[in-house]
Amino acid sequence: MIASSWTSLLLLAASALFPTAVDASPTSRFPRAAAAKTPKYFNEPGGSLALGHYDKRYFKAEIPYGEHRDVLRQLIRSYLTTLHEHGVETWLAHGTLLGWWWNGQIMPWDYDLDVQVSNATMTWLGDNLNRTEHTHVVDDSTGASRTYLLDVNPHHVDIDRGDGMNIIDARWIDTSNGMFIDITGVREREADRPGVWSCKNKHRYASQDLWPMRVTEFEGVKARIPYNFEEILRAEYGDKSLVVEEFQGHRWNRDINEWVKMTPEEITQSKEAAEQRKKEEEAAKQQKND
Amino acid sequence: MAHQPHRRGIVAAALFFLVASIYLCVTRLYNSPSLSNDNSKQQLHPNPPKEIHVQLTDADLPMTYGTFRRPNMDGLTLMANLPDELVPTPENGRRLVIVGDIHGMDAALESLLQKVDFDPSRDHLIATGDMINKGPDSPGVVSRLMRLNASAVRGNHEDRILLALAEADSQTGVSKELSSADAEAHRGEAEFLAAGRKLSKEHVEWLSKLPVILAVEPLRLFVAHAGLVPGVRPELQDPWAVMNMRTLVYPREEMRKKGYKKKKAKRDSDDSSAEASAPPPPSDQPSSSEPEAAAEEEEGETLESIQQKDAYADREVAIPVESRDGEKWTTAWNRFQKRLKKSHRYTVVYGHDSKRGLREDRYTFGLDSGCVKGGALTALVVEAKEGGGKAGEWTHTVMQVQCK
Repeated sequence: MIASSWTSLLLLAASALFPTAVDASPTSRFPRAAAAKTPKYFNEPGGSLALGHYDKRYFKAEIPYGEHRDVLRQLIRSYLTTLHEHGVETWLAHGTLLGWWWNGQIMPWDYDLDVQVSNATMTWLGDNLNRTEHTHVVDDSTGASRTYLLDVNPHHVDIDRGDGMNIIDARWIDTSNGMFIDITGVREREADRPGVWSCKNKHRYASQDLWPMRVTEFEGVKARIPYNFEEILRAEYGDKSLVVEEFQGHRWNRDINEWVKMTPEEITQSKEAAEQRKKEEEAAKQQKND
Repeated sequence: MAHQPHRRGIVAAALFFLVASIYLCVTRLYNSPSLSNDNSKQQLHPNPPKEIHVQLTDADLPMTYGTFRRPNMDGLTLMANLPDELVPTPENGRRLVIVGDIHGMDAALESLLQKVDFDPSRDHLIATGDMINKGPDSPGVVSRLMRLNASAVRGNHEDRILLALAEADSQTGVSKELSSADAEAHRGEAEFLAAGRKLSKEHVEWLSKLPVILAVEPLRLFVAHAGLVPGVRPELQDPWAVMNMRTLVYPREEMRKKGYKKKKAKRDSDDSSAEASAPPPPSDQPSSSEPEAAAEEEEGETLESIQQKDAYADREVAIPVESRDGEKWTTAWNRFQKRLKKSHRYTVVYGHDSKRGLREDRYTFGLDSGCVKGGALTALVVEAKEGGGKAGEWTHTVMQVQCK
């Protein structure tokens, strides 16, 4: 309560002083409602969409495009290795699973990562590993290492999403820059639907879509994926996500089987070629109809 | 004195306005001639094409299925070849006896083998997957298959059972602490683990080495449990799909339909450009661009030529799904094979779909006739064509026994 009223006071003061500055923050979309909401456990610096991918406590500066993938790669490698060492069952989810589907790598336009665990595992993490730091060697040649924090949201025990402020149950955070992995717990939340597991954000999974898990690799380390990975991806992102070769200014390069950033010229060229092709198709259709 | 700086401000503003307008005027004038030039060029075009207006949608993006580099899963063997000495030829007089989903029905398997007069020195037994689970004697079936040196492919039931067993065996630390019979039931694994735990270590070892696709190259024949996606090389097939698929959905076709519906809703009067275009839209390449020399020898296309020509056709990119929402994969497979040169065509022998039962098409044979549900157990007996036939030509006989 105290914290939230302080926040609202600060917000008021800030909006009086710098109205435009506050408007720019993403949380200002509902500034009045904010005061009534549960305090958010995990906070991001805000200010732009990209800054939503950093933990406020460890954020220093935005990581440029050319470097973010390596940071994320080390994040997921350290997470998967550490949790496997403890025998924890965790699996790839959402955009991270989609990256696996294409080539077992993080997609270059992704700025965060998603994994899931069962609620029993989440409880164990909360009881045994909460607020622990883990050092992981990120460069074998220099021996350079980074420290990661496993931070479990006390709201992880909540059965429903509440007011939506705490749908992320835990995070694995790179303490050197604030980038993170979102960890969410799935459980059989609805009494009338046994065998249906869901996270707080209402992504539902039939038990047999998740288990038995498959063991595979992601970014070069051992990783688990749900049994029906294809159906899960189709349900979440649509068929399009499994086949379309151009996305967010990136193109699937069939020769190297990787997503590659397109130059502005390539984007224009590709668009023109598509238009040309469609015009020819239309022309042929019209000819046929005439 | 007081309004001196004020006036200065006005002057500065006026000056800025002037400079800005001159700048804008110049840049616009500089740009517009080039635009009008473009227009005049188009008008000078000898045969001005009718102005076609196109709006790009997601349906116009490049798409692919099967060009990924997904990491391997679970030490799964995707492909294996049947050893040459087991392949029927007119000279060796051998037979392949390919049996549909057995599901622990060992007695039925025994009587079927009797019915086909199975002779281990002359015949080779191949099971199309789902040999275990559901029925009364899974261990008996696996023992018999092992005894007869049979080949088999991994079905979805073997897959789930083997994965569940491996998962249970590899649990350490936290996962071991948290595992219980209750947890297994909640995870939907109880049935699979119960069936799996009846198998011996040797059974599990034998089953886990089975490939997902068995190729009999000399006969141009694949054995796969559920199906294959046409146009995708076997080594690029998704093992999950090969063990689970029933139909194919076509994302580009779906997107075009959606786009069309939107257009139609906008101007619902115009229905001259009917949508019903199941065959791919006319390709933009003239047909003469096909390699004529090759066509002289043998009519038909190749995988590559179809991929290139039809890259943007409605149904070139297919996603295999488990549900029955899409087109039967067998329909698509047969259609695709018929486009290919004869020597490029493959037949698929599969199981998995007892609802559709025994199905025979030109290039697909479905052998799951629902034995475990009181249906029949089916064998496809494959022999080399006697005399006159080209190498690799074969004939088949279907034999069945009733299951009790």
